[in-house]
Amino acid sequence: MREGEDTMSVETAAERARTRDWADVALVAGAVILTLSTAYIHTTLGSLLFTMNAVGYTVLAAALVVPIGLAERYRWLIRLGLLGFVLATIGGWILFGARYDVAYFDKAIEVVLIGFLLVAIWRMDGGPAGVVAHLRALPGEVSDLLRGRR
Amino acid sequence: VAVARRLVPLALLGGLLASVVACSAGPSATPLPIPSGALVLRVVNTAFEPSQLSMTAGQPFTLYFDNADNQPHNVVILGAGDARVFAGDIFSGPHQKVYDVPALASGTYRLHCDVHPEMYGTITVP
Repeated sequence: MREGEDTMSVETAAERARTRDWADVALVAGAVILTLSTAYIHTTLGSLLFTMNAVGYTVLAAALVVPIGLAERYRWLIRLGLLGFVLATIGGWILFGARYDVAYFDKAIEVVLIGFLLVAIWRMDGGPAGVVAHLRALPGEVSDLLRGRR
Repeated sequence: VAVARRLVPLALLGGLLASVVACSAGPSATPLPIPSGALVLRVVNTAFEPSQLSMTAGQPFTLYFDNADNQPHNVVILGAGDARVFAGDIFSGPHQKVYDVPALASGTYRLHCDVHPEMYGTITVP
């Protein structure tokens, strides 16, 4: 009986892990699609500021998925950076942006992207407490990286 | 699962880029005819052309606004203290619109685009 319970518990844990993995994949894929969508919209607007914004979004979208060790290690920071970038973009639009259909559509995409990022940060980075812990450990990690210890 | 975690977002990214490229080319429309006596204002390479216009005081006029760029633009006429005297719709080019602009009092007015505040022009009304 005890052995059967253990087997069932292991299977349930594996099933949960698989579900979590696929949910994480969906979250990242959604965030990438939304980020590239808003990047594309910004490329259609002309002017240096919009182009730079599109470049920023594209780089961050690539950084969310690029299979490089350093990026994988600091994915939490990339998610946080993208969140800050989206918030800054929305803030800039509120202060200076034109109010018209494409802008409203783009802001809707960015708001949904914020939702995806918040859920991703919650699930993958341990939420605000996890992010704070990462941030506290960051200076030491960077120092070690620069010294070539890791 | 680990491989799929890497490949699925990359595949979606590629698919999105492909669809974006496929959807980028739009149909070209026949230009709107310019009404006789209309003041013609074009936007080319994110700049008003001409950048300096003049108008008779106290007379409403027809403004032919030609956005030759692929980007969204509009024309706003700003009076003293940046008061919005007239504001056209924001739309992407190449496309044209004709507006009936109310009469302007004597003075110098600034031409402005809401999407690109760096665009600059003036209307002088002697």
